[in-house]
Order: sequence, then structure tokens, then C-alpha cells
Amino acid sequence: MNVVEFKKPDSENKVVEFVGFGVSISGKQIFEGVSFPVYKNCITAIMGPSGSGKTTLLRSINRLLDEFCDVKYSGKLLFEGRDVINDGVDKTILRARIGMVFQRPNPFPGSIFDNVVYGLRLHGVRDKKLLEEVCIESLKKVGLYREVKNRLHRPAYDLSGGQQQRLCIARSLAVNPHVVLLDEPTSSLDPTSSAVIEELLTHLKKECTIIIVTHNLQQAGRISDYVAFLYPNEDLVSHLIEFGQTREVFFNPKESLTESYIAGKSG
Amino acid sequence: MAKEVILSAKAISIRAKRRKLAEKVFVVIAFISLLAVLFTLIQLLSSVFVKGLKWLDLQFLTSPPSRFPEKTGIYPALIGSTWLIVLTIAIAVPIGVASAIFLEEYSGKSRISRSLDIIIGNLAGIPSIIYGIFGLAIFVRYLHLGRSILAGALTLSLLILPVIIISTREAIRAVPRGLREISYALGATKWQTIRYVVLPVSSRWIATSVILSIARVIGETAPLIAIGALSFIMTTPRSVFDPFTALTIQIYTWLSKPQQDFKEIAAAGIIVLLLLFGFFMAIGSAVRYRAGKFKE
Ligand SMILES: Nc1ncnc2c1ncn2[C@@H]1O[C@H](COP(=O)(O)OP(=O)(O)OP(=O)(O)O)[C@@H](O)[C@H]1O
Ligand SMILES: [Mg+2]
Repeated sequence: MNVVEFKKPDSENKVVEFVGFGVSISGKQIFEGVSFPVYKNCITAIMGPSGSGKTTLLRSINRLLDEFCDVKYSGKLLFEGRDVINDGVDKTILRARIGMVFQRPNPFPGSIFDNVVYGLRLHGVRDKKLLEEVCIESLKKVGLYREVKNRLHRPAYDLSGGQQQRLCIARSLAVNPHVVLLDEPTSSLDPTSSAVIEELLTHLKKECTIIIVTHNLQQAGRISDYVAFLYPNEDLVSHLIEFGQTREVFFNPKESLTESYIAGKSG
Repeated sequence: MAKEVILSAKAISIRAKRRKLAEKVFVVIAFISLLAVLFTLIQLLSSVFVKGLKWLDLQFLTSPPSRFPEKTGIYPALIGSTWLIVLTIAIAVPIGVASAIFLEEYSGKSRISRSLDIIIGNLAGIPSIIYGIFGLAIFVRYLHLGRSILAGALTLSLLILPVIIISTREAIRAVPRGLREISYALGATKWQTIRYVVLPVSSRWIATSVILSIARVIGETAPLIAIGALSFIMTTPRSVFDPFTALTIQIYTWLSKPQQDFKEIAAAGIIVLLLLFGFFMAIGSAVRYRAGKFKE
């Protein structure tokens, strides 16, 4: 396995940190006591079996859970040093700093241009020139500009699945987020498109921090610097089983659960 | 054992043949029904056009009604109906869409919201004459609007509001959840999400329900008679506070006259009604087409 260059852990550089963090939805505890840091300019992968709460964990970072279900948090979730659960952080500002990409590409039914600048317009940017600049810049970051430069004002639905997903990444990058959350971003794509996106993420981490949920162990091994492994106990409440540098967790796991999960998955 | 028999190649092919036969029978029946409908429709329309077309001229379109067939015209009713449609849509669509947004997005799943659901559903099924009586009591009498176009439009608005609310709610509900999620995740407030995602995405469906409502407004007679729309009017309404008549009432008046000429003039009135309907349908479809093309 070809493991990417390892970055020295740096406690000053924690962009996100979970401290004894737990979530319950409609009275059902999904996970609890989760503690691990997310380092700046690194890719942190969240792994675990289906239903272990990976998506839930990801969606609590930008408090997206709040909009759609009856959610209760416990513990602390620090974003750039501030507890976004208890410190009364403005969710709109929080979300402007945190980009998000979903499992299935979900462009809006508008033009490519409209999609990329949606976030900027939300925040009141009306200047055509600025919007255009940011649009081009964001599309270039995801390597889509060359492919779509002649049809910026054509419907985004005309793009292929892989292109749509890159468009969605560009859309989340347009507001210069500090963190980008990706929930299985390549699971609905073909291997080639997935590879393009993986490549893209390894470049992207130079300018922001990436948290990615993935079912694909090879993918986690290829691109991530750190992994967090969630696993449900017999009451179906998940805990963090192991967190560490990807290489360590993959080749030298401390927990037997991690070892068997990795062996079972990759074997 | 039994399963093997059921799944044997022979049994499968026999059943497949039977299904194909059933399909053929169905297609033939469906085609005959379609022909029957088309035939009736063409019969109806052609009889209307044959009778009415010769009375349909500029004089007919621009004159008030008269006792003499060759002098009579449809102008006041045409203007009355046009006013009614425009005003009713202008009143009912904003209120209906706003109510639907409130019910769907802001009121939650409370018991009140659910009972409102049932009430609105039932309101859509009430006979239109009841709306007319209600309109007479509230708009004509209580609010002193008289037998005016405004009273008529308000009454018809009440009539179509439940349908607009219900279909707008369905349209809003059909917006994919992923689009809302990403909108919030990009930092949108609830209102921004509604304004920039939910409404543009559902506008096509909302426009469809508005077009259907226009058809209803053009066709309604009973509630207008109940609020006292005039059946014979010489003057053309100049403002929304003037008395009025509508095409359907005018057509009915002509039909109830003994002279054969007026039966044919009624047919000409029906042609005008169809043309007016076609005109508003065209506008509605253009709006729907534009709405489908998501801009900003
Ligand atoms: N809105 C909700 N209401 C109730 N339960 C929910 C809700 N969202 C998630 N859950 C529950 O939380 C648990 C974790 O779900 P989650 O989607 O986070 O798992 P996951 O690890 O992302 O799974 P997968 O790998 O299949 O995507 C599941 O048992 C799920 O049923
Ligand atoms: Mg998931």
C-alpha cells in the first residue's frame, strides 16, 4: 500500500477537536465519548461499519443535523478553538467556514456558474466580476475549468456524475472554507472519476483541512493522514475504537477490533 | 416439487402467452375509449364552431348585449371574465403559496398543522355554490363591496385557494432533501433556502396548479350568480368596484332565450370563452417554461 507522506502531529494545529463528544437523535444514542483531533492541512478519514454513525459525526461538525432532526449533543466539539455546541456559535458563520460534499452529486438545477457561486450570493456578493473570478478559480481547483469553460451558463445537470461531484466540491470551495467535509464522495462514481477526486483531495489539503468518510479502505490508505475508527457496541452505540496516523492504524493497530475490521475488509 | 412445475419452461411460456393476449385486449379497449372521447369532443367542438362562427365578428366582440340578435355582443362579459381571472390569480396565488410555505416549512408537525391539513383538504371538496353564499355574506354584505368584480374575485380566490395550497405543498415536499441539505450546509438561512432552492425547484408544479385554477375560474358560474353578478349588463366595468357579468353567465342567458339565433350566438360565446382560456393557458405555459429554467 502506498501511504502518503506523513505529517508531524502538531497540537497547535488542531482545526477541529472532539472531546468526549456524543450525539443522540430522537432519544437514540448514536455514539458517545468520541475524542480525537483533526489536524490542519491533513486528511482525516472516518471509518467504520455501516450504521456506526460516521455520517452523523460528520454532520454534527457544521451542525447540519440540527436542521433535520431532533438532536442532542453531549461533550465538546471545538472548531478553531471554539466549542460550536456550547459557545453559542452562529451556525451561518460556522457553515461559511466549513464546506460539505455529499455521497451523491447534488448540483442545483441551474447553470454551472450559478452552482459554484451559490455560497457567495448567499453571503451577499453581487459583483459580477468577482463572482466570475471566484467561479473560474474554484473550477480550476477541481480541474473542471478546462472541461466546462465554454458552457458555464449551461445546466449543471448536463455534466457526467464525476464532473458533477467535482462541481459540488468547487461549490463548497468557493467561499474559501477552512475545513471540507466529504461523505463517501466517490462511492457513486466509477474508478477513474474516483481517482481524479482522490488526486484532487491530496492537492486540496494544502489549502484546507479535509475530513472524509469512506467505506473504501484502500482509499483511506491512499489519501488519508489520520484515521478514526468507529464501531458500535452490543447496544448499537458507537465508540471511537482507534485514532492515529493512517500508517500506524493500518499496519500496527492497537486494537484487535481494528485489526479484524481491516483484515476482513481488505482480505 | 410444485415450485419446479410452476417454474418449468413450458408453464412460463403458457403464462407469458396469456399475459400477451391480455395486453392486446387492453390496448384495443384503451384505443377504443380514446376514439370515443376524441369523437365526442370533435363532435361538440365542430357543432359549436359550425353554429357560432358566423356570429363571431368584431361587432360581436365589441358590443354590449342587445335584444336583437344582429346587434348583440359579448364585450362586457369578456372584460368581466378577464378582470376576474387576473384579479383572482393576483389575490389567490401569493396568498396560497405563502400559506403553503408557512404550513410546510414553518409550522412543524404540530397537531394544529395536521388538522389544518384535513380542513384544507375538505375545503377543496365543498361545492362552489357554498363559496358563493359565503362570498355574498362576507364580501358583498359585510365588507360592502357590493356586486363588484372585487367581490367576485375574492370569492373565486377562496374557491381556488385550497387547491393552490395543497398542490404547492406537494410541490414543496417533492424538492429533493439533498438540495435543502447542501443549501444549509453552504450557509443559507431557512428563508434563503426557500427563496433560492425550494421555490425555483417547485415553481414548475406551482405554475401547473395555477393554470388548472385559471380553467376553474373561467368555468365557474354558480358562485358568481350567488354573489349577484348581473345577467344582463349594458355597461362595461371600468374598475374593480363596478358590477359585472362573466362569459359563462352571458352564455347561459343567451341559451335560455327562445329564439334560435341566440342559441347560435351562445355558441359564438363559447368560442370566445375557449379563446380566452387558450390565451391564459398560453401565458401560463410560458411562465411555467420560464420557471423551469432556473435563474439565480
Ligand atoms: N435522522 C435520523 N433519525 C433517526 N435515526 C437516525 C437518523 N440519522 C441517522 N440515524 C441513525 O443513526 C445511526 C448512524 O447512522 P449514520 O448514517 O451516521 O451511519 P453511517 O456510519 O454513516 O452508515 P453508512 O456507512 O451506512 O452511511 C443509524 O443507526 C441510523 O439509523
Ligand atoms: Mg453514511
